[in-house]
Amino acid sequence: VKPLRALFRLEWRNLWSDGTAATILLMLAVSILYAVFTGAHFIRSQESTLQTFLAIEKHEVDIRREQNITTTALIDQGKLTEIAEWSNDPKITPLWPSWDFQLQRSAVQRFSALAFLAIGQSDVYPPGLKPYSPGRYFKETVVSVEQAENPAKMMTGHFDLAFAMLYLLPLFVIGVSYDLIASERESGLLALIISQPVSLRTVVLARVLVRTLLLLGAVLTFSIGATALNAMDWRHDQAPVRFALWLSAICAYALFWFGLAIVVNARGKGPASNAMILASCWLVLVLLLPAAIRFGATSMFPVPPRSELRNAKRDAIMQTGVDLWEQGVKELDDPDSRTSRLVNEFLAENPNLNLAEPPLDGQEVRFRLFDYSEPENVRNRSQKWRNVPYLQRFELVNAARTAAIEKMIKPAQDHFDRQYRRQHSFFAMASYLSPQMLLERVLTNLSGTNAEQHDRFLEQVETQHRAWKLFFLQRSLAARLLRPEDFDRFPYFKYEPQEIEDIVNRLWGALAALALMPIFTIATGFVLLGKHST
Amino acid sequence: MGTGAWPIIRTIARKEWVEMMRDARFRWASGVTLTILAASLISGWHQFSEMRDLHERAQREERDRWLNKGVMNGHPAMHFGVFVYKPYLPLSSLDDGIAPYVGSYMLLEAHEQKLFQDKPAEDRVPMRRIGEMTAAVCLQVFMPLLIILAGFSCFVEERERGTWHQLLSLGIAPRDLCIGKAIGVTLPLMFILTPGAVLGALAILLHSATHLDDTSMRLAVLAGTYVLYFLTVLGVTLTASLLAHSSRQALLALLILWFVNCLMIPRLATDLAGRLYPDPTSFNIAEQVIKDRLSSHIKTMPEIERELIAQYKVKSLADVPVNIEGIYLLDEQRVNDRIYNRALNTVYSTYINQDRVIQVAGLIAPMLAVQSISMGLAGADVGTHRDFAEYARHYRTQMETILNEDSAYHLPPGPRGRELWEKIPPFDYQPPAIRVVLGTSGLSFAALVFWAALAAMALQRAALRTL
Repeated sequence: VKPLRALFRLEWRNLWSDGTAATILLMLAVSILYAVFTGAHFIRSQESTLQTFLAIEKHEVDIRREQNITTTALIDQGKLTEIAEWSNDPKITPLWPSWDFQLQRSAVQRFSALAFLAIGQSDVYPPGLKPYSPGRYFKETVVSVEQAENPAKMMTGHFDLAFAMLYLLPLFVIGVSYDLIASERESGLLALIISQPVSLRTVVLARVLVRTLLLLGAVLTFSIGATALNAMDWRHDQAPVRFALWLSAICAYALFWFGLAIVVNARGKGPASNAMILASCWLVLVLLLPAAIRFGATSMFPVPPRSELRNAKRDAIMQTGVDLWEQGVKELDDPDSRTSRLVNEFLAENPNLNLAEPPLDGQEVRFRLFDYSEPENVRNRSQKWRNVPYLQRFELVNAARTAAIEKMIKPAQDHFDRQYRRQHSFFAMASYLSPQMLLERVLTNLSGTNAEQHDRFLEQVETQHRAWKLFFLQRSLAARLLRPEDFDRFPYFKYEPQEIEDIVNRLWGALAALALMPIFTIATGFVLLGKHST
Repeated sequence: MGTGAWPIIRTIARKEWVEMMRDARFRWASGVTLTILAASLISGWHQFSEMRDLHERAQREERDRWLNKGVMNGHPAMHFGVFVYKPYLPLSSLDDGIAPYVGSYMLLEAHEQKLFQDKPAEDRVPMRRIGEMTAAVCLQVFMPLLIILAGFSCFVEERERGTWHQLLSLGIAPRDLCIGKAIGVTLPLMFILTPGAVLGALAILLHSATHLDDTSMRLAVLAGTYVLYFLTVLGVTLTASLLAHSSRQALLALLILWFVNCLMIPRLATDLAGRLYPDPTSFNIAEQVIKDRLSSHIKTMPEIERELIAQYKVKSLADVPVNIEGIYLLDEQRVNDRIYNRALNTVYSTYINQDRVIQVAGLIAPMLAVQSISMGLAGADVGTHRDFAEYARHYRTQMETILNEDSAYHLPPGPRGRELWEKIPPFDYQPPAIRVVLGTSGLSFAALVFWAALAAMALQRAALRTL
């Protein structure tokens, strides 16, 4: 221990005296501060405008709620006893359950507390969805929210802390450790050093320890400092635990590179050769291997372009009928028509949904049915449907047609899902080949900005969407107008972030591999050092 | 340079060639680069042909659906809408640019205008953006690395070996030495690149029967751009090799330059562009749309009824020679078009301004200049994207106007058939011609020429100082 301590002190002084330490600290400080502030700026601007947007979106619904209150009061007071069975009058539309699209609010995946450290895929995914249609890939993005930022910027990627750690940190490690003993071996000094009562392993250990302490100390200090300056919200998402895991993963990654440097130094080549080998390792492990694995994943399990899904849906719409508003509803008169068949199938599959016969008990307003004589209206003439208000007829046809389309496009959607899952599973498995990919997976998962988290969000949107449609369909088929108290019962979307326990459960393999990789490289390095003593 | 210099230059070049071909590091690096390039070319070409066929077929099918959708009113027909597809240019097999981040089709439908749908990047495995294996990334990021590897030790190694002064004492003119070395480094690289370039160009031209002139022009400009870029990198590499004290120092400096040029500056430049012209965040735009909608007034049916009765000086709506629902739809269209045009103009004008900043940043990093030119020529840049979006916007307005006017003025109102659907012309978008692309990429061309001149001057000065 004593020689180790002495060597440690000597190395520490050497690093500071030749300016290496100061240079490293300066470069790390600039990189980390810039990365954290850039990431925080991106997330903050998204967050602040998101809050404004959600507020104004709620305001829009509130205006309709006020209108509903006013019109409902007129009905309750007996001043309005009859309304047309269909109207686009803004005083009436907030009463229609079939105008739920005007009452819906966007489903938004809230940024996690650590999102600014690894922006990940969050700039690629649509930040808000308006779930109009069932099926994961047919959610309409919020009007004009499709594009989060300049696509040229998305193409380049962000200079966030994850980028600095994934790409720059290994270069810093290589920069300080490619010449742990090589120059001294070439000049013959090494033989002199280990002729003292100190082993080669102790010399290397002292040098690696000094460099590790300097580099990781700086990384941790600057990361924590910059994060604190950016006022991370520690109260949400178990942020301290996530951040601790985040930093631990980075430490493991840095130690892996130190271990690799020991292995390369132990081979006994010169400093230039060591630098060249380590730079090649960086190129292969950080750039080429991940790119090759992505290439393999997308080539072996290509996900069909979504335009195929869109086309399948367009064909399904053509088969079920394009115009459901007028022609579709009118087809109800013919019991053998396509629409009647779809409606019968739908009602048979959903025995809990029933058409109520108005006027309903306790409902004071009557529907004024359209005049028979007008050819352009949507009045049905058959005995079965002639007295059923448009609200019920339209929503029934709409729901039946939507269910039929869902069934028709299911094979295409299943194929898409299967390929998507295969591609992502292959990629996750292959990530064990590259510490860079493992680290990226861990960091973006902890930051809540990767594909897995987005998939969870989409699942939640799908669940909420079905609950929403059922809520309004039941009211439409019951011919019940919306009342002010219904506005408090609307099943609005609420994002449930993943608990840290679940993330760790999912990532334990990656975390274990990240922990084992440095142990393996460092142990190999020291074993090799023992074999090549000078 | 007299003719007598050629044998010396040839000898020096041959010596460099032989040394490089014997160097295992170079052989490995070349093999890896060549493999990546070949794989990315094949994959890019496969993807391009698949997507082009898919989009062409989908566009035809959309037209058939539009014409054969049956009898209905114009407004439900507009709700069904039309998907329009952006055509793929053959050069997008080399560089798909921003395509994975914007998608390449959009639904034109009633009431609202949309941006592009379904970004392919959403469905791919997560990636740090430099991990895309395209021919463009290979040429812009990996080729410079190969050039650095081939040339970093070119001069400095002679000094390290002690053969430098011997060479000069033989009476070889420094300029001949420089030219010989440069040719010696370039030839093996050409040996690697030329077959791929020729085969790639042939494949692209064979599948461009309809736009052969345009495609060959684009290919020629692209080839010229890459040659200039590689020569620039070669110039910088040889300069570093001349000035460095050791090959280790030369390699380190060049690797730092490569990292800054290919990985660092592109990110910093886009950050700077975002600071100078802040992106209207997606929520900004959505907020603007809602606010505009709330503050706009679409005439209600009773208002329109009063106006029509006054305009036609009749007693009741039944006597008015137009359909009130059609008039309502035309008024609504007018308001909605204004709202969405404003929103989309805000988005695209910001992107174009940011694009200019990125092009100017090409003066700091030549890779940015090459990237910008390459994307423009491949039709995969922001400018082409906007051009398509604008065309689609006009087409949508024209389509909705025809249908709404039919509903308003073609009496009696009611369901229509194929006769009306045929009044909407087929969607036929042509990407901007090459001269437009050259115009918008002017700054990038200037930046690249600046870098090439700078590299040449630096090499000359370094040679004069050292030799």
